[in-house]
Amino acid sequence: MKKPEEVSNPPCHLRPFKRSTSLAIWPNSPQADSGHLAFSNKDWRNMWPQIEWQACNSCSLCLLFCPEGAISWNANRLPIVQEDWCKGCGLCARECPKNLIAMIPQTHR
Amino acid sequence: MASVEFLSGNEAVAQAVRLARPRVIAAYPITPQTTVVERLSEIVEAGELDAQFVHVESEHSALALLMGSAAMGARTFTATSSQGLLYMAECLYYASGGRWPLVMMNANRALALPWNIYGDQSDSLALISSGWIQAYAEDAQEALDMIIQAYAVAEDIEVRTPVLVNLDGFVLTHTYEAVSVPDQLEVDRFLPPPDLPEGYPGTFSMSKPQSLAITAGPGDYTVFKYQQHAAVMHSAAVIRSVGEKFHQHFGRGATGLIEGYRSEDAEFILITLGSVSGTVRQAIDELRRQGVAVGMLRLRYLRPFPTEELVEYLYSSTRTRHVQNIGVLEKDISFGHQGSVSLEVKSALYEYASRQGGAAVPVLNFVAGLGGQDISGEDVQNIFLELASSVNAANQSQQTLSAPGFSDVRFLGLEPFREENQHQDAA
Amino acid sequence: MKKISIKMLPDDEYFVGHKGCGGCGGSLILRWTLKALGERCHIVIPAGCMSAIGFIYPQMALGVNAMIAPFAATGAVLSGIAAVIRAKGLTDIPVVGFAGDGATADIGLQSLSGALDRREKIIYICYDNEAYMNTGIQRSSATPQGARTTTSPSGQTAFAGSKKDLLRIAAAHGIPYAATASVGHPADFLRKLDRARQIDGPSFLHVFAPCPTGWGCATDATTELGRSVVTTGLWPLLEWDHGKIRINQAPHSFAPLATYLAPQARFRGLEANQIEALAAERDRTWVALRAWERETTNSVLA
Repeated sequence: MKKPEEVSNPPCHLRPFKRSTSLAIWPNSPQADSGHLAFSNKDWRNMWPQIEWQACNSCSLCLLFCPEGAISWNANRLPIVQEDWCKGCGLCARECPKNLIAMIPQTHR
Repeated sequence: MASVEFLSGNEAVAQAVRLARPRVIAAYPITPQTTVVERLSEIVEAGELDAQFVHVESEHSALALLMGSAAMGARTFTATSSQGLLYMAECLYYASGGRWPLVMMNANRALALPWNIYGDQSDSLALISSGWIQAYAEDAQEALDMIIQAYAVAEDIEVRTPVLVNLDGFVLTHTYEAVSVPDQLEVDRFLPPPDLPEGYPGTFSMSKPQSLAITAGPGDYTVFKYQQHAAVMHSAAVIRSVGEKFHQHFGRGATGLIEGYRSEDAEFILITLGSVSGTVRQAIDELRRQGVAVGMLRLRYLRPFPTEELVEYLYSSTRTRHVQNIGVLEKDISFGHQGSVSLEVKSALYEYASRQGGAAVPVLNFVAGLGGQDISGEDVQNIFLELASSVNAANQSQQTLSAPGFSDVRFLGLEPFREENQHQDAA
Repeated sequence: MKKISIKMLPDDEYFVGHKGCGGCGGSLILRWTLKALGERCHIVIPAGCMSAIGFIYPQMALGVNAMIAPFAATGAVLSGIAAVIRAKGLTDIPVVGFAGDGATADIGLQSLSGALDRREKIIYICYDNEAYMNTGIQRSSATPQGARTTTSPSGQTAFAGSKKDLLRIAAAHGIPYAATASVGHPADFLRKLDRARQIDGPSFLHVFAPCPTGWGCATDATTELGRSVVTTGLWPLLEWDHGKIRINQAPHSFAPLATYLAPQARFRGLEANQIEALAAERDRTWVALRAWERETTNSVLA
């Protein structure tokens, strides 16, 4: 289990959630804290972007074109894919100017 | 110091809104609501009220806009009528579900078709289940008082439910009377500040951003809806306590959701709402002089429905006479059944009777005043006489015409159309 | 105010964990918008895909103050927020509407018109996926000619009208700033967003947003379609700025329509003559656009 700050960038991040069974602590109106994510999307995908880091020049286009915000930088400013949010759409692979991303079959079911 | 001014119902509402200091006013014109927003735009332009007066392109947008303002923590106001109220129907449910403490005035007016700009209560009664607290004013003074109290009720942290204050179109909105207008300082002492506090439910926050008006799946949805229902039920107690506080501050006004008139010893009681109550009082005084024990219960609020107060009025142990017959006089018909208010009253009485055992008091439904139809003192006296004459004799309507198959709904004004009169036309 | 550009986008993510389909163009534009405008942004999203995928209790995918508006009322809710910002003298709070083509060109057009007419300081972004996708791909007045939807199953009925010209409708309100953009051109979009947030009044951005589910294209085709729609001349990149219209990219010749049409199942079944008709319509549009550009550039009023 990864720590929350590693699976997503703030302010949106996965936090533990337990549905209340008490009216006293039910939301006061149909509202909730923005960016509070209760569930991972990891079981949505059937493809996974495998990134070839050696030749990566950190151009950031894979981060830019991800509709999920699922790609972030690691400590060496290389792109890492967050497994909670990647849906395997392949846009990062399509946009990588050096063709360093390969979409490989993967499911989490 | 309060001042006494000669105001129409609409102008009294405008004065009340000025005193409540909303931040944002948005409205779309419709007869007979227009003079409220005309006065308010003058008040804002004259600098007597520091509010944003926003011109919108529809009633739907008026109410939607105010939800945005309320989400920003601002006190708001709008007014509408009839077709306009129906056009914003989606937003009525949206606002109550979002728990925004909006206050809206509605000039009760007939619904098309046929087109008709005059008063009846079909519009607000069509939306009785929309989650709004519904108040019905009898006169301009009560309209002013109800608007001010509406903000205190709506914004109460346990209530957080919008309030619709209804005034009968023309009969009340456009009729002038002497109205006591409170001083700004007095109202400021009575109402909370016009900006909702940080963290108030249903509002945005810069320190902790909020997602509002969200989606909830089947199980969660039920809980949100139960909460909403519980809040409206609870609002009855808040309406009473706000009414009592208002009475202490300003020395006037009913405090209950129902107001009785000579009802304690009445055998025949007419339940009604809105401005026709004045006519009913006069008819009662006249019949009392003739020795008929008649009285009135005026429903000041239809939501929350005051079941307990109604039962208390009708079955209190301190009553000196039992109630023999009840009439419900309303400016509305729920087609294919009966008047909406009659249904409300009967439901409450049935619950009481089924809990206590025994039969409920018979209720006759009088539908009158549709599309601005005049309801005279004589009409009301005839209704009381029918209540008195129909004891133990069902369906003996002589005064009004019943719709086929619905013998206890009587429409005022159909007398010339009765079968026995029709041959006279032919002659 | 820091300039918005790709390089200046912060690492912070304000739209994560949503339930959009893979490769969703609309969600990519929303993500960019929130990254660019940041934590003070207040956003209003009407009923539609973005509200359906972003706010399902307890999963709140937006990281800023956000609210779902009634379908027809995005413009009005934006006005209500803007009115309080004005009343309280607040500054530097971007008020953004993010609505689909149905919520903009159809049911919400009246409310948008009202907000534009009131000269509210708002940014209204229409992400255009050219049909009612959230309800299952039904035709809207932004559906292009010849496109199949579930309510124009042959694609023929969608020839009834040409796509509503939202940019001209917005410009006709006399607002200071309106522009078209595409998910295939993020630098252009972000530059226009940057311009929009500096406008003291309403601005309108009409952004091309492919929907792989509704269009029958690959999930990784979104950005490429966002480019080919421009090179084929079907989606001119335009800017209306204080009375002047500017054509941002005027290709000398258009790429063949097939480069844009062929990857999409919704256009499968178009006959050659229908494709020629689309090309003719495009050419007429460009003649009119160039005339509009000349007219507004030479206008003494501009």
